[in-house]
Amino acid sequence: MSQHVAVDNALSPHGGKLVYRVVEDKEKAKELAKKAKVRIPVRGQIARECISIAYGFFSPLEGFMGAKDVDSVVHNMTLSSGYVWSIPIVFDMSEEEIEKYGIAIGDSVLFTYKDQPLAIFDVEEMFVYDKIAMAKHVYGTDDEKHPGVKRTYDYKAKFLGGKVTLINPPVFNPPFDRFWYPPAESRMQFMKNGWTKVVAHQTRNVPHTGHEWLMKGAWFAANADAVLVSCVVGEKRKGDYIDECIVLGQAALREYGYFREDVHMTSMILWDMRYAGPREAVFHAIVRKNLGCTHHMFGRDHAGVGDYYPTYGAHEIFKGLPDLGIKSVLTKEWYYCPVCAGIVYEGFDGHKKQKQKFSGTVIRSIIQQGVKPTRLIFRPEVFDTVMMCAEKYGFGSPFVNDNYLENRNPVFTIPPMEV
Amino acid sequence: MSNGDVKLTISLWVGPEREEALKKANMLEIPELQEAFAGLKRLRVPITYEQAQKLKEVYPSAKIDTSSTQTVELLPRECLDKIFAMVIEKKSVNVIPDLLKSLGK
Repeated sequence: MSQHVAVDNALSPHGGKLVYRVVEDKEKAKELAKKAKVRIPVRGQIARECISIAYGFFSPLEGFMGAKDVDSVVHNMTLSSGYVWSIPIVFDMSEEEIEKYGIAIGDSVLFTYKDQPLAIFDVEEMFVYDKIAMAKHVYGTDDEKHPGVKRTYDYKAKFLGGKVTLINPPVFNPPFDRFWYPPAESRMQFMKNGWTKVVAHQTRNVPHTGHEWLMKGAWFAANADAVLVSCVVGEKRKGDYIDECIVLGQAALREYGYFREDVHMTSMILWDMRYAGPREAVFHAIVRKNLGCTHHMFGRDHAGVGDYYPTYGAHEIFKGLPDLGIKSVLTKEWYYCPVCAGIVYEGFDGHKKQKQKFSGTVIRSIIQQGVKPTRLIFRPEVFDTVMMCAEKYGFGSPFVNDNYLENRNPVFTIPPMEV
Repeated sequence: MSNGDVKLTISLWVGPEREEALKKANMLEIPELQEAFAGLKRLRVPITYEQAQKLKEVYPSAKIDTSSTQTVELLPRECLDKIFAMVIEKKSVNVIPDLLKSLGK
């Protein structure tokens, strides 16, 4: 088993160096594209991961993992260098595709997305890996009903490892453009704001008051300068909140004064959730560390699905890991207490028998009916924002449906590039 | 008991705006209106299984749950808004026959 490598500088990126593999010079980008052996269209997940790698969200990764890294991540939860890493980041192809494109080790290939050049991928190795073992170790189960396991089983037969260079940066479309802060920019923003302690809040939700207090509680617990709301934007499933509701609903908390302007920032990461529970919590911590956060809040059922993981599995996993250079703020539940007539924390409220928990089903039902709830449940401006997004972006619904999946406003566009 | 005898309900959330309308209709004290969560109330409108089936013909997305919650779920917002408006107009929760009539059922 490889040794874990602790990170001693809290503000350093994971692995010590912030990766930046974006070619900004258009002519140079075109030259690289022209030199590429072949064009390979990639799906959304791979495009998003290319962008995340190139901008350093996944530092120290510079590309898709090779066999040594994958094996080390699967079995030891570290890269082969020893740095903690919990989720394999892989590029997969079928034997037929490899043959069709004539790909060999040492080739540079051009990844395209939606018919436009996106990135150069340097093929350093090709390998097969036992997908069942990968699933069992990363997800703790080989049950294909688990969406992360299914994603793993859906990978094609071969994995290709190698560096990725973004040659055609994405243009983010409104309303997402104002929430796009790659690591170098978020770090710059923190510096401008004079923030040295920032606690990250991971979310795929519109914020009800329970979420708001989770964030405020984490801010107190970390004695932080600010909260970074880091929204996960990626592959959507029917019934999820639409992305616009999430980013604009979160931003509304600041815009309407529920957080002071100088203690709150909403941003997003491009990531297709794996629902790996505790392991995904570790991954989230690393990505937010790369964004410049010093703390990460973890509540119940972090990145979980079904009943595959213990409620507070994300709290336990960090106990066996070295200092990652980002501190975990472990929090339990905030709920409504009718005796206190407010939102209270499980850790200090003495009226547990009367507690009224925030139930996802109830919250969704309230939103579905479009009935403005009491301000103890939703801030009215947040609720209005959600309803506005439903009309403007969601084809009448704040939840993902077939129409949204087919016709949604794309998060980003890869601009035309003549090669 | 046949399905036709099953008594179901449609749940309507009642926030401050709807509560005000119920207050004006003098309906705040009816047993079908109960505290649900953090000051938000729930109004239960009775519906039979047969009526629910007819409603589902108009709104196929509706889900009739006779096994656990005994409710009709996933009705579109326009339908729920209409039911609430009829409750206020009639000052009664027994509005489903009129609703079905208005829908041509």
